Amino acid sequence: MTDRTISFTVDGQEIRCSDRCTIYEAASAAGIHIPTFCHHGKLVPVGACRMCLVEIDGMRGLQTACTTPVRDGMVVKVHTSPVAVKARKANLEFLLTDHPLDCPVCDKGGECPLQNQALQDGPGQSRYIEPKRHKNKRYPLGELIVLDQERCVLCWRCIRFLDEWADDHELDLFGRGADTRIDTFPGRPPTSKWQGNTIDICPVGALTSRVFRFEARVWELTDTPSICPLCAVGCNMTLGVKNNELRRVTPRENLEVNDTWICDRGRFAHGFVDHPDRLKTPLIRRDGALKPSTWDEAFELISQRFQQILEAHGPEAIGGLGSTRVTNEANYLFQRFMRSVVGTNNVDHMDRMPTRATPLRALPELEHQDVIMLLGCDPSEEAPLVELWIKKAVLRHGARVLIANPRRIELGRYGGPWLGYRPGSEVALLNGLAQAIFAAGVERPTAGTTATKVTNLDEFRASLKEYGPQQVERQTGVPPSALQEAAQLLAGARNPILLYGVSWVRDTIAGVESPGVDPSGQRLNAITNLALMLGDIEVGFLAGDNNTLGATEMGVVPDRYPGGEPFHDNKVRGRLASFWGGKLSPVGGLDFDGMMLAGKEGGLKAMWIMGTDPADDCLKAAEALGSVPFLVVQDLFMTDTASMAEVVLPAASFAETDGSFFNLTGRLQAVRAAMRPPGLAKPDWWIINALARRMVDGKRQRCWDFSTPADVLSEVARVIPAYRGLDSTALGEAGWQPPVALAAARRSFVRVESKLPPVDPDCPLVLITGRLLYDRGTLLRRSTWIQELVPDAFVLVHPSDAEKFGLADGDQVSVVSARGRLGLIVKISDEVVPGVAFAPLNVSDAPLSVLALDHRALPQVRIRK
Amino acid sequence: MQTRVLLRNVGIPNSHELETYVKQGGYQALEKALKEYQPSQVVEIVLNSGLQGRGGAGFPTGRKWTFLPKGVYPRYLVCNADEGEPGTFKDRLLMENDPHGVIEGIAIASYACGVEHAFIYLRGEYELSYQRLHQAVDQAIQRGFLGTNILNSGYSLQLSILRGAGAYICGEETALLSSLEGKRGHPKLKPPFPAVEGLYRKPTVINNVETLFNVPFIVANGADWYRQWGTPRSPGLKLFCVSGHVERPGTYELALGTPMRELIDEVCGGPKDGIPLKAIIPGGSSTPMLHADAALACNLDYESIAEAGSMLGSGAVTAINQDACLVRLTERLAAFYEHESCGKCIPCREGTDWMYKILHRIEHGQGRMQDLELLLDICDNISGRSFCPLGDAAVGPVRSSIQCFREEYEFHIHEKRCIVGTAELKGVPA
Repeated sequence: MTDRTISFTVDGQEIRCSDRCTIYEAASAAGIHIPTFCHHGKLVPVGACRMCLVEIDGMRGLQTACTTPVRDGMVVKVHTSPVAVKARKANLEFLLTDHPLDCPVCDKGGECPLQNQALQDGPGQSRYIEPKRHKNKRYPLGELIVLDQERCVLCWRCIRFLDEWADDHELDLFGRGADTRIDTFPGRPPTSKWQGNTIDICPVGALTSRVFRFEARVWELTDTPSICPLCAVGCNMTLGVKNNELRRVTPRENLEVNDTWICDRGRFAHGFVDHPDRLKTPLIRRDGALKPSTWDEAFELISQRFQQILEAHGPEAIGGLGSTRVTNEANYLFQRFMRSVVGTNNVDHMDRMPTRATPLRALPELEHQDVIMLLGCDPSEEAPLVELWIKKAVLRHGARVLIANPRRIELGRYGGPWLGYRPGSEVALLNGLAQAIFAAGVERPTAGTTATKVTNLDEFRASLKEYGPQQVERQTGVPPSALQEAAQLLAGARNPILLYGVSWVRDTIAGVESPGVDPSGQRLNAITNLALMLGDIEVGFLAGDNNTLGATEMGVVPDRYPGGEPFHDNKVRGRLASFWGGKLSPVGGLDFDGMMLAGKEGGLKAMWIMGTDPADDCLKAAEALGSVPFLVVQDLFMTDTASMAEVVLPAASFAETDGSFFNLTGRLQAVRAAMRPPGLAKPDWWIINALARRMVDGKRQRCWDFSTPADVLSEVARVIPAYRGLDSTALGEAGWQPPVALAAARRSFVRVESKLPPVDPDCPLVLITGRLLYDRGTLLRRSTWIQELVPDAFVLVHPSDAEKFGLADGDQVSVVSARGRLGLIVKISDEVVPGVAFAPLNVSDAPLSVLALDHRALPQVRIRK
Repeated sequence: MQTRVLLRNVGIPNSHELETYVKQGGYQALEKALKEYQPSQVVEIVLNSGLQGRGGAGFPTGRKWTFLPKGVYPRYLVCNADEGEPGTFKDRLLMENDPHGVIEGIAIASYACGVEHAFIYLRGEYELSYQRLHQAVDQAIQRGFLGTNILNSGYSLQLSILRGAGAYICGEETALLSSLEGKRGHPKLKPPFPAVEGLYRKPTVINNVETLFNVPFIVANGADWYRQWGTPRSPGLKLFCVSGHVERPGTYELALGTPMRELIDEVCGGPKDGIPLKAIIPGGSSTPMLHADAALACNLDYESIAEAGSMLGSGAVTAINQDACLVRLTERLAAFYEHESCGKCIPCREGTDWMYKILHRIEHGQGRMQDLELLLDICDNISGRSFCPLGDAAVGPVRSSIQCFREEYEFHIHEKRCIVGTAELKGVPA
């Protein structure tokens, strides 16, 4: 169906628009306001509230503008039709008959469509003298939302949002007629991760936020556009600040990222910003304890110690860890400091994105993908907006969600198929899938443009001989029926996509090292093979943190400069030195593992760690950092790593600094300082710049005179060729998507072989981990409201394993690995495959990291009562 | 003159049993349709008969069937047995006493429309109807009148009975479909009309029980036979449910176009105890009430009653004599609509509530003279503004009773008591 441009008039004004528009859409686009309550541009029109009744020449009675399609030559009267105007005023009068009119104590006051409409069209005096109907007021719907049924105008936008977008049917209408109420089902408080959005779309004050409730009148808030720092999606949002406190977070529309929505973590988990635990002054260790100090003292001490170490041991004795969470500007200056002031390439960050990973191209495109395969990721918990886009594809276009994960993640609710593999058998699974697709006799691999360039298809096909469904079942545990269903789906897909997450590429099994094999590279190759044989379809990496992409892009890696330029290229080095001053080391630096090893063995004399907490995440790091003589940590809170430091520097949060993040599609988006940091805390970029000025001499100080993050970004734009011309104003409010640097696509299959790790008979379960939306991590622990939603620490095991270990649901158990043990509560469910246990990260008091030396290695465990 | 065509079996012992029905010539029309006619020919016959929907709206049945889009299957047929309009009890009579007649009608209509799965959406309170229909369906399946390969014709029809849960709104066809799908009984936007996208988003025919009940007779005897009754624009036979102040209330079968006076004075034995009638509601509680004289001058067909300013509706005639208080009566009706408004749209939800509160106040001696203008204004603000016809229905009795019997309201307001039984009663204006 193609659309046609037609022309019609509203109140005499001619409007040209597509014939697919409704009158409401066309009139709104032309700036003619038609009042509505039930209608919302993101929801299917229902025509229930009757506020938008208009008169149309030649049609009997009044019609609802929100549901009536435009037609060529139509003559519509909105404000010029006395009948329509009367109907609208009457409707408003009807609504106000049972409305409590408690605007002075209502959070919605000041941004309330009903209030605005009443002001415009409402009767000055009520004709209603009857007693008002009473319903539930101040009625908590779970931990996050309060419902006032008396204020509700029954537009059911909230119900429809949860149904049409979140697919969480948790609210409904109860009762009938004037006694109709919005409510939850008895005994089932809402659990949707998207509840908060109902507050925004509520056209009255019926749904209010328990977090923001009575915190401020909305006109007292100073709104600043910002970006959510809590996952890699980078939802656009607005920070509402009053008296230098972050009172409210609301979504900001960006059709390329979050449409109009944010998840409840993004909305409600901002308590950390104003938390009293925030570091407020620099701290220096004196007599074994960290004592408050001044910036001057701290800089003096760091500068002296760094100089001493440089003189005594050379630059390679100092290392730096940047962060996947801080701004690009901070990361850029951090590596610039390490490289040009210290003179080392010993700079890295934890959980680095795989070199060959390409980010997902664009979030909205997900809607039009008909088969979405999720490998080793759980968007619902890790990157919620991705879940919302996937649900859109499922709900509106019937897309299928294929799940390759040892755990049947939440999106498994759409029927999968779920390929629940044993960790370590990823390659076997994908080889088996490729083989099953070939076996299904699919034309796909030979179709399309890629086929002509792919040279070794037959060779690849021959290499899969050992991966028949039965063989694959033996290795992976995935039943042939599921594998074949998945193969059919992928083979028949019109527009499939493969998305993989951090755990797909990162996780190995502890104690099972196979020298010379790069499991991460193997799994990436296996995905690329699958993508190639399906016609070179898109493969997207779902990054873990809000600036995972930025940390790499800004050069916080030992082997590449900003923009991915090679450090061993003399020309590049020379050019950078001219910007940065100082001499850049031509020697390769240590990566995270290298620094930890050097730390442990005494080679590393000092480290500067910014915005990351390796001691908490990784047992190996905790051990190594204890041996580093001079540790400087810069963060928001007294983390485990900070508590080991000689100097702790208080940093500003995302809400207190200007800067930018790269989201998971590589979109560059700006945060702005919405408030002042607490106490003496300073933005990361300021700290680095100030310390550098302290350490370099007069002439080189000119290289360190950034006065704003915008200055830093303009240097980045000059340093990285792909960003030429970029400055902070180019980011605007919607961000900037760099021109896609198409990675040289691989045009041939790479044979990948699977070797199953041996099972440790003493510890027969592999413990997989994952993030939950709500946890007790450093930031969320300080967001009180969210804490009520964090589950008690648990370990999930399959019923057959529970039987094997004699466990009952709810038992308090010890999870024991070769490294340590952890007390958890057992949950029994077939959401995990046999042989696998799942425990969420950052939920228990003791970190899961006690069970394995390296946080990237999955411990083999046993469970006992 | 009463006829005994539709009601031929009512009153016969065990009329609900298959044996009785077959003995009376039942299921012969179905056999004829299956063996002698193509589906399109059945549609043609019904179209020619001029049969109109007997649920209240009076839309031509055959035309409704032709709206089904070609080539889209499955299609469904729903028999609307959610008889909820106050004063209406004709469908119940048919379902309790002649359930096989209903089933035969459904089977023929389904055959005509290319439907292989039909539904009866039955008013929840109709327990006996449910039992009788349920038994009749079982019997019909056993004897090959329903189910697979009906009468060896190759045509199969599954018939499911679903019971409502007591909401008047579910008689509205789109709300009925929502309810049938297991959802809240809310009316849905039209278009798409059910014929195009109805039950489970498939083309769906929805007909009233009485409408379908007529079909076997028409198919057996032909369109011309059916047209021997009624007027050219309202052909055929109709069941009238008479309630209120007449000597013999009940369900009667008459040719359309029969004078109202004949129904009241002859068929029903005249006003009860000879007390003159004051008002008549001609077609169910939602149709505007008329002065008795005006109503008695009408004929019982769609066009004549429309001319008098009301509607034939479902054929539920309620006679109201001079001893009845119209304020009280209107308050009761308003209470019904307030209770039954589904709550989806503002004008109906809030308007019916407000009207009832005002009427309740007037009835209880708390009325103000401006309440009458207010009520009429609320009527204006509901009618034509609500999502579905329930709003218009709720307005019918309020507006018409104020317009026709304003003096009763004024007396209530002034005197804080009822005009009935007082010397001030002036009787029925001409």
